[in-house]
Amino acid sequence: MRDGTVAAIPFAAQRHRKPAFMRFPKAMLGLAIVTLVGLLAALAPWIAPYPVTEMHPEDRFSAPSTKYPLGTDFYGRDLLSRILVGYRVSLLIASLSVGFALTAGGTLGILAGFHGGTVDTVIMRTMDVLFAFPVLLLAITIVVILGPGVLTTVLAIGIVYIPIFARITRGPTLVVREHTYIEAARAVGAPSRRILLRHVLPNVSTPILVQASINLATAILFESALSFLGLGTQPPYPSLGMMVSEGRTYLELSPWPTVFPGLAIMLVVLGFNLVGDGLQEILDPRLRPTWTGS
Amino acid sequence: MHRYVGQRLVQLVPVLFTVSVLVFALMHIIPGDPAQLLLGFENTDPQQLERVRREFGLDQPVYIQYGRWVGKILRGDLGISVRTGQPITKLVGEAIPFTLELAAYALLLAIGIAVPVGVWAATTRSRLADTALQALTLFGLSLPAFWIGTMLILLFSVQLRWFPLLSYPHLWQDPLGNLRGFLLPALTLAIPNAAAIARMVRASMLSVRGEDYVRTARGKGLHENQVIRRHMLKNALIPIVTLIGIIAGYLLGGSIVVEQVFAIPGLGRMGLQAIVQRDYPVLQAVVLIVTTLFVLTNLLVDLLYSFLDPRVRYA
Repeated sequence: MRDGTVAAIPFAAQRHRKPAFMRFPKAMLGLAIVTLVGLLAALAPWIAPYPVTEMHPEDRFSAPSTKYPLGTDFYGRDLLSRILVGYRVSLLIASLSVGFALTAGGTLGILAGFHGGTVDTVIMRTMDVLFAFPVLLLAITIVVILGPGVLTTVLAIGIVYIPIFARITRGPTLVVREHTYIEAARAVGAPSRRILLRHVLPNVSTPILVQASINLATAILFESALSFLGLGTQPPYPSLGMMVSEGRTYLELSPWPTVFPGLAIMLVVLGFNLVGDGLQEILDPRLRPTWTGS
Repeated sequence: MHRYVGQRLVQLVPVLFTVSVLVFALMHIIPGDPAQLLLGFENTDPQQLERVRREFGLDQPVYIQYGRWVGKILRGDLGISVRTGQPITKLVGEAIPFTLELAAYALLLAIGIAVPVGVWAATTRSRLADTALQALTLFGLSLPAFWIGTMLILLFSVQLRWFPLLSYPHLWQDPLGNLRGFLLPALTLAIPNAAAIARMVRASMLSVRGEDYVRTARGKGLHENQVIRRHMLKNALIPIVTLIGIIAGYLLGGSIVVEQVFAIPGLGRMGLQAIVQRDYPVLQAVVLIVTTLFVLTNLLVDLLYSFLDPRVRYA
């Protein structure tokens, strides 16, 4: 709140006696899920019961048991271990691609909104062209051009999301630009760069944050869809989408190799969706439900 | 209204032009010799390569190549598949009905599920019902489509054997069999979108509930159902229609995954097969056709939107 910026989050000033998890159950539940999955993924190499590629041919298609908590796949590989390592890949790709889109798109949006005129037109028309392609098709085309791999997946998802972040930052920037404190900063001779970083950015960060948490959820779905189609992470790296695609071949022999990776994807996506949803509800009281009697 | 439609059609030109340039560029950006891409990878005979270069004008400057390519497309010639040697226009013509039917079916299912659910969530006085519906839609949004499809196959086709697997008769030959065969794929594509629409219906209904005209409608003694249908839903419709429009476009691209899961011979599966077989002229055609359909869908939605909300066309 330095340099005369206004508080972006109005509820911060309110004082409630209830703890945070009771006031914002959705956001807190989401945060708990995301943190849990994040920890599991980070600690995967140490807590996974078996090495990911270790085969136990005698235990092919085991149902969940004490030996294999979530069962095994066609090669007798432990599903829990593979899911934990799959989470690492999912979370890594999702956070890198959203981080890339947020940085690139956010910068473009702020520049377009702040400078206006030709800069605005050029940037936003380019974004419109990106928007003219269906997202999955655009990502697939990028994978075909660059060849599949972790970095390609990050770039493909990142590029597809750039226009979303550009649009979401441009709007608030247009509003913030007209405020008195920007005029004041200009009057004391602050350079554009400083004004953008110190005065504009903090005031447009709220919608970006909500968008980022929603996009982390969709990025994980996106990555899993690409790897399901065989265009994402390549073997021997386990990836949750690829596991579902492999499991499908033996669906009639054992459902577990297909069921559990899908549930694992759902859990982490649900976590990010809860965070995004919770944040949005905190920021827009109109979305609060009927039974609160407002 | 006519002026607005005219304006939007004119705006379409630069978008389609840029799309065509990018799709044309695809053949030149993909690593490798374009002549080799056109000939397929098994055939490395230098004479054949030279023939392809001349035939496709690959020895000409790029802008002439582009002009010839666009000219051919405008005459309905999308080129030849390097795998099967068949004209791509014919292949696309066979695949398009599957993709369009799947998308339309899914959209109808999604709206049919989402609107009642969303209205109920917004108007119920029961905390339990609203929380349950909120949780349900959030689950729906968090499920990967390929997994929903696989689970539906596992449950209804493998275990219960209620639905035939991989049977897609033509709509006009066997209408009932067609709707039955497409039900699981359409449902798969519909579920996440129904969740998104239901949430929008709920949010949009909640945002109009405090408006004066809602109070007036209640005040003059209208039945609650009428207040909801005639006054709340009608005014809440605009953001809902916008989202449905976005989803309609998304379904075209999203059907790629579902077509793959259910082995539906539509455009998406054709594109994926083209990638595996490195049949790049087919891939190029699929990207061009799907993107054009996507752009046209978005245009239609904008026009529909301006029809519903007169403020848009006079802005």
